[in-house]
Amino acid sequence: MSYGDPGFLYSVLACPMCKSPLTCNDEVLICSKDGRRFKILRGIPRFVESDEYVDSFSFEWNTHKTTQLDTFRNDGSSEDIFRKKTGFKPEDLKGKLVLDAGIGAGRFTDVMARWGANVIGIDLSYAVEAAQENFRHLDNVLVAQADISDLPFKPETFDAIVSIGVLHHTPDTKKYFHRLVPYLRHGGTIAIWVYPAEGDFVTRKQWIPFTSRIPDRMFYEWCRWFVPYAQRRLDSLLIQSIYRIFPFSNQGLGLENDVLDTFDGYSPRFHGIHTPEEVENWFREAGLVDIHIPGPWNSSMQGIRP
Amino acid sequence: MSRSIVGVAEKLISIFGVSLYLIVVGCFLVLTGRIRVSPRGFARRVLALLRPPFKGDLVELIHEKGNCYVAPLGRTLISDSNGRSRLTLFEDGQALPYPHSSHDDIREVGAGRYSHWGDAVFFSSSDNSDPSKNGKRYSVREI
Repeated sequence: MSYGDPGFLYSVLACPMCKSPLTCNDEVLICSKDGRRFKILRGIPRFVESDEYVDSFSFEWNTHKTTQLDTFRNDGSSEDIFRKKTGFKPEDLKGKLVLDAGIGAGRFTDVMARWGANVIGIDLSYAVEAAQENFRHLDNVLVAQADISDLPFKPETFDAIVSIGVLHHTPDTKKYFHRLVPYLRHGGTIAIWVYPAEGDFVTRKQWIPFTSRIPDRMFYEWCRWFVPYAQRRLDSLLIQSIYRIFPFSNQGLGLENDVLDTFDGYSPRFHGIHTPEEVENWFREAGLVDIHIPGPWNSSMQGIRP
Repeated sequence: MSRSIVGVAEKLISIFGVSLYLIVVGCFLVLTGRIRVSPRGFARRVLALLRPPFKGDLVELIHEKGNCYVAPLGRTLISDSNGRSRLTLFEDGQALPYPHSSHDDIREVGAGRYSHWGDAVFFSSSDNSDPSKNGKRYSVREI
């Protein structure tokens, strides 16, 4: 089976434990070696039992299914960010098999699918429900619920791997990055962006042990009230002072985006911050070459598997 | 009816409860030095509200990159690098449309985007012409 054949993306899946091929039998994927079974629920192969430590993402992406997708926004804001954070251009990904590690609602899969890439998007959270809804009509996108630490693919499967704004939400950013690299083909490119150890990201890290404990719905209600309230008063001394202690989103992409982004910034359980040197070292340790920062975002990095 | 009352009550509890919790946590983070705030910076912001608004012409215009030009202000004010700038940039008396722009957008898109950063203004002219040669006057005023 080759790129473009119906069912090709399904044929790429493998048992996350032993990497043996899977056979599909009535909404269940079965490991051909040891008979392990993985359900397909609502069209989504499930390789995990729950959303574990990422329940806030399950909530936020099912609340904001389309807020950041260019296709629904009718603009190119996410494409612009994708180009700057990964360095990829349409011709780099057209016809290629790409893993979107941490698809969320599909903000960047939306860009890659439009560019003609064959994308498999995985996420540990129930954000996969939102992504599936956004892409169910596309033959070149497959969404699966899986953990980056036990990916359901054979090694050396993908032409490119992207993970933007995801790895720092795992228990160990470096370890999870290293889990991705073996799935890249020789000659393939991996591009990631993680939170930088600077500015607002440092301040937010101090809040995380406290804000991540607030029930998601309560904190979200609060963000829905606070963000528009603060944005209307940006010239006030009080709001400016609050901003320095509690930076809230004001990205110029609309109020819904800023409410989402403020919630996203404070609700996750893990919030790693990393210097460009640190990220570059992970790439070196993984044996990648042509390592470089592809755009203006310091803690984004691209490298090739030789 | 009762369901909507419950909904409003839940919303109010969320807003007040979370606000109170965040105020307590914020005080803790500041007082324990986990989040650093500068009393001098705060005092400067208060003083900025009390003194007369700054205004002046941009004279020394230096090409930075793409559509972006830099003009030193010759005065230290609260800028977007340490707060929120109150500066408005005028081109021949007409306010330019996009303050607080990212420097990348100023360089790449231009079209009147600008940013007050540190002691300088990073800006582009409205038609992306060279502001040092287009014969237009560029001035700033705190609003």
